[in-house]
Amino acid sequence: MFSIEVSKIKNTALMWFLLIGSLLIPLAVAVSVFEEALKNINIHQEWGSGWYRVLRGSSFFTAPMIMVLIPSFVMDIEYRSSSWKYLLTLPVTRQSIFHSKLLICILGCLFFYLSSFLAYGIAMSVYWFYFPSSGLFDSEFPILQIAILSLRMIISSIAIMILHFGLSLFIKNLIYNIGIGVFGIVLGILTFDWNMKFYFPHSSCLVSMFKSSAGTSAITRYEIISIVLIIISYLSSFWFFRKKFRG
Amino acid sequence: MQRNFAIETENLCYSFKGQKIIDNISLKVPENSIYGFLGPNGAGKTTTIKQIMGLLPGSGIVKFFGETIPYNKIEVHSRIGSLIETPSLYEHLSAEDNLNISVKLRRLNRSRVQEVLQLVKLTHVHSYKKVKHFSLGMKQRLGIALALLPNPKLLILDEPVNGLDPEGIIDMRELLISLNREVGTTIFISSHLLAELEKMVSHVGIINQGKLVYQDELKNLRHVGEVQSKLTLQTSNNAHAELILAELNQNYTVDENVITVHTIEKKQLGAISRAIIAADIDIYHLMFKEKDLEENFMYLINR
Repeated sequence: MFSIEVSKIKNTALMWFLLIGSLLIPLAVAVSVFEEALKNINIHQEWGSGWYRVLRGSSFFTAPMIMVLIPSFVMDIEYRSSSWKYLLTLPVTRQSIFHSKLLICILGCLFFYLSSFLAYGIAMSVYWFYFPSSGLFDSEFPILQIAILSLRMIISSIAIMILHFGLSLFIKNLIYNIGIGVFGIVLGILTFDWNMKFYFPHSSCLVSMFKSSAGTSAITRYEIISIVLIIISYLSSFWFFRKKFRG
Repeated sequence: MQRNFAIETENLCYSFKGQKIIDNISLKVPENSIYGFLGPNGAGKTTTIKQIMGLLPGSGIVKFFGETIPYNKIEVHSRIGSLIETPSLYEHLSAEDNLNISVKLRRLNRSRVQEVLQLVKLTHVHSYKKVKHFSLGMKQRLGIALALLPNPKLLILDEPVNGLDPEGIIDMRELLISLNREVGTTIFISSHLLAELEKMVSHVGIINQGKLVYQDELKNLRHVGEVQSKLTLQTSNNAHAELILAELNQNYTVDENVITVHTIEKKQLGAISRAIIAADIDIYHLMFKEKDLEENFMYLINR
């Protein structure tokens, strides 16, 4: 089922959004790092802090937007081709259809961060090539710090993604889904200051990277709320898909 | 003898916003038959098909090959191919990609893709051509290819000839008839045009305003209703011809020099024409019109 979902998204705009979205912030960070080095402001760099900059840069708009786009496009492929009615009459269980769609969305999210990290790694290696005194390869690679930062960001991202996954089962129009997503992201940025008091899913990435007290390590209360949202969204959308969804 | 039914429904009902869309539909589609499901636009054909296929809620019992749905749905659906409304095609992919997706979902052999493309005459299409560049007729053919993919024992087709050119319609008819005769596939086909189906179906069900108004073998549809066969006649001496018809105990009317003989059997034609010619009357026009299925169909949906 999963390979079928992969073959469906080839040649779609989603592939390009994922690719461009994942490269955008690492390249912007790399340009900024180069600029600082050329102006002799800060030549010394660390892998962990650079990756933190990438995640912070993504948390404003790019990451939440990609998390809105992935499920919206994956579901829109079926709506646009009126193929739900075909899929639901095939000798395949509803559970496997639902889970293969969810899996492709989660893997899309992981692909986004993985290719971001790869782009960041390549950009910083190029930087080290021009500025060997930056000390990038002198210290130990902070694998735990990078993993925890990424995990926090991924949990917050999946919360947005799964919320829109469920929403796409009700709202059968790509533009409306994206519109709701953009509205949520903008609202999240505007209400950023309130967000440690009130959980707002679309600003979860932003709060996770900028406001959580744990700084660059450990999972915080905010990510735990995101995990609860993920579980609730999963269970309710799965129930709806099995019992009520008609395509 | 008890017949086996490929599709059997009991009291299918579906309401939308308090309005009954389909009302107590009890279909009986015999195995190995071609069953035409007829009705005017908006009669409830597609809704019935969707409910049979489990795409709509509602009440009633649906059985495929004697097995009640939803129990054993996966196994039963593996024996069914369907095309409901418009073909479900991924337009950004090629015809082969579309079929390959179904092949993987149904766990079929990949060689089946070329076989069905050949059946629906789409082998000439370049493998890289995306479906969005296909004509309406080509999309329809591909939709039918998708339905044929599992080599189904039961084929459910909702208005399958929509968008096909006359040659395509004939091809499709021949394909469906050969599938029925050679492989024994049961075909359930819906349409709003009787003329389109009468050349291939063995059984017919007529739905109107959500109710099944007729269900039987096609040949029995001729005996339904008030419309009967008739003979129209123009001669060199209508007055004398009328006397002859009266002698032969025929029921006739005259309107603007045209005599219409009502409720007539085909075998009586010879006797009438021989009697008129024997009386030295020239026949200018003689036309026999059999009981018309179309008229009977209209009678059933208008009564």
